[in-house]
Amino acid sequence: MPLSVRSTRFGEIEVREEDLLEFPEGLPGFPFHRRFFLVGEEGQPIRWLHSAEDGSLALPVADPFLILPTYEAEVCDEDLSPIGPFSPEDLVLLCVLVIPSGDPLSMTANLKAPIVINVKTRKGKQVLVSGDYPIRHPVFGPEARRALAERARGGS
Amino acid sequence: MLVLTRRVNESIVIGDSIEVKVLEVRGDQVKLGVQAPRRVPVHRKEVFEEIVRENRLAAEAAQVVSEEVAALLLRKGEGRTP
Repeated sequence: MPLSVRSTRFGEIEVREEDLLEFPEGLPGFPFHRRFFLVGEEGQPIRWLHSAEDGSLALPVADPFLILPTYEAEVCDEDLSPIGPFSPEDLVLLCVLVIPSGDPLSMTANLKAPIVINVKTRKGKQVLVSGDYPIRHPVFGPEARRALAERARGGS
Repeated sequence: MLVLTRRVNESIVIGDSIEVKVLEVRGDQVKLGVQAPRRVPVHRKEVFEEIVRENRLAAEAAQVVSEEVAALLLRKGEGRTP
């Protein structure tokens, strides 16, 4: 039977059991939330990791390779033990976005601690990667921001 | 909290597999060496706290991100936008 979640952002959502993701250790900052699901179609640049238990809790996430094509996530194998056995192609990486209200172009992506999801076991965990990646990586450079601001002016 | 006094090059052992050694003391900075099995994550407390803070900030976002911003992000991934 599908789970019904009353989301403060998206209204009533029906989630199929097989679409649920389990975070056995919760998320840093939200240690008691264990079940999530993704809102948004695959291929959309920004999706939401939504709590299945709390309709008001959802974090915007994106594919880190969209944000930084040269991104390399090196994670300690043992860090990933909570998400069960996997081969590399079973893993999906997502990075958490901070989108300042009223200023989405200043959004930052946490490249230091991506969320790793094992699509086979449907378990996930937010882990630290080695390497010098920032917790607040600006998604858009100054040129992109300027271009968009100009387009917005021209369009209105 | 257990409080111990150690000198440079002295260590403490936690459990039977974790060793924390004082390598250098300079002013108010202490350089520590940590030897632990790979399965034990060792982080600066600030890093973990920052991730907690970022996650909480992330969760404050409303759902409205303009199509334009989303499109810009997609183009960026295709290497067409700086």
